[in-house]
Amino acid sequence: MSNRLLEVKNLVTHFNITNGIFGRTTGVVHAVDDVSFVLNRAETLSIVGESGCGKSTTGRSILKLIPMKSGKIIFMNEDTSSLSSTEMQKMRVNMQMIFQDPFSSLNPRLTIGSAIAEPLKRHKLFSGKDLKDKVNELLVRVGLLPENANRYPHEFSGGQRQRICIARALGPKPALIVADEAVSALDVTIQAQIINLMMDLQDEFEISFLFISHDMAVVERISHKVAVMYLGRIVEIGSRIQVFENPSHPYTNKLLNAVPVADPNVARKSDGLLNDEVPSPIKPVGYSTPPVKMEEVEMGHFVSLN
Amino acid sequence: MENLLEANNLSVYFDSDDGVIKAVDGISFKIKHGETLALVGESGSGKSVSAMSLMRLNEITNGYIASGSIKFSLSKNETVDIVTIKDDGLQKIRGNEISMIFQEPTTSLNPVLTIGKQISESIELHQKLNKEDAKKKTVEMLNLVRIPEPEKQYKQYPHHFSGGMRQRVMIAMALSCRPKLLIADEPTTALDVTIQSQILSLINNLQNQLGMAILFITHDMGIVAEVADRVIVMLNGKIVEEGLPKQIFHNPGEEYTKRLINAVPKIGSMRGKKNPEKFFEI
Repeated sequence: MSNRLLEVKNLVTHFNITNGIFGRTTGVVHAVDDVSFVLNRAETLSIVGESGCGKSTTGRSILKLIPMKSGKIIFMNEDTSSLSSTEMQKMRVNMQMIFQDPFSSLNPRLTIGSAIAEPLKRHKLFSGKDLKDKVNELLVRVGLLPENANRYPHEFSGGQRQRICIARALGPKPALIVADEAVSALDVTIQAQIINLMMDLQDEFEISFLFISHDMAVVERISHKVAVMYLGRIVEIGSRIQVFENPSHPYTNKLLNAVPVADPNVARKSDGLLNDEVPSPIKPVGYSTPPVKMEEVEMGHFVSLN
Repeated sequence: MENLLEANNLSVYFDSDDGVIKAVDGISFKIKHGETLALVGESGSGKSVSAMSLMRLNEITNGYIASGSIKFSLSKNETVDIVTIKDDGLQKIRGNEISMIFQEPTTSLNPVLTIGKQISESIELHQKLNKEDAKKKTVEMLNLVRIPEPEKQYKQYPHHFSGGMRQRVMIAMALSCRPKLLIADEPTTALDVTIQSQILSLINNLQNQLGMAILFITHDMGIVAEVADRVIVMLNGKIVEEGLPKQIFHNPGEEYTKRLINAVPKIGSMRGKKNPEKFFEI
């Protein structure tokens, strides 16, 4: 069985900006502008970047939650763009998502047991007593008591809700989980627990994570590979060691330098003469971004030239 | 009083259907002139409520100071207790002696007033200047926080600015009356990391120039390491530990502080390690 789980080739996702009562398109947001990468089994690839860089849109495009403009997504050896909607539904068992806000990603009117059971019922994986047992098993696996199954989301803390979301994503036994800023809204001690849980689950179930985050320090901890995004493109991609110890793109360096170091011996108070803002990803209608040109800095480590 | 501020046995409570919530439960701390004190804790620790109590702002959210004193040094010979001071005395302190910046610059700025007007209003009120002089001072402040073309930007509304720029406007407003104490409640949490870095540097530079003390509230230990002269750790309304940054980070005394420090991912800590690593859980 091939080790390659997901291959994204030249992914482009744009959003039209419409104005006026006739809905004329006046501009195009180049959210994702020619993104390519490979993710192997039981591997964590982090996509890191600041707000508006296109990392969330990339994750959603891969899961086909947002239609892409062009490109290829090859998941478990299938080209997902050629799948019918029924076939895609079957495929979705293998790809699940956890979101940033554990408060809004759970239906407040469903018990957490029902929430976790939902994807299992939808994909007809379990029913009856087996379903109940499976839900309890999942709750225990994420560190919650099975008795909690009948309680509602508002009765839990943020960290607990994120565990519930993980249990829900884990149920269908996915090969891929897209975690979109899944720990950003959590307190730091809870964040550490959730990250440890995700790493345990990766070891146990060989799950691959597409970990979308703005937090370089967390990314350094959890990733095998890292892709740095800026204005819809990957500007640098490589193993975690390569990108963190040999950052080769100016933006990666800028990002790394900006992260406050949690060590008073190392911490430096910088000069603060900079005052720059991130440029807008909005381009005029018809503008065509030139294809990405990458240079291989060392084996497996690529840097964008444009 | 040799310190700028001394809080003694301070408690802030909220009444609720489930009884009294002791958001802040008998804390004591001091802030020295010109120092940066970091107040760190996770959600629900009571750090924001403590900060708001220094200007008696808790009443807005139905909180009340249940006990304690907050002694503030107005001058060499004059000290007041913010807990008991009358309303007109409090007005003189708010914005003038003690000033505050918040996490969400979007909701802290009045959307229907130009940013220039918002700043000069505050200056007119506290420094008794006429409109023209207040406007001049406002432009000076906008320059100080490095907003380009300040005379032009004076007439702009908050929605014309990005998050980072709005935070600069907030800082300009907060510092326009040269307060002795700036309370910064998670001022960079909502900002991208590169913008955060610029804002932190700006705050540092302004402190060097203007000499004010800063009470910096954050949950981010990286920021604490970068800005703090001293650190206070809060948990469930109480102060758990207090000390210099080096002590807190390298030699934490308390159980909770140890757990906190352990849970923080320190960038650069994975050098040379091939595989991802779990956090060491206490």
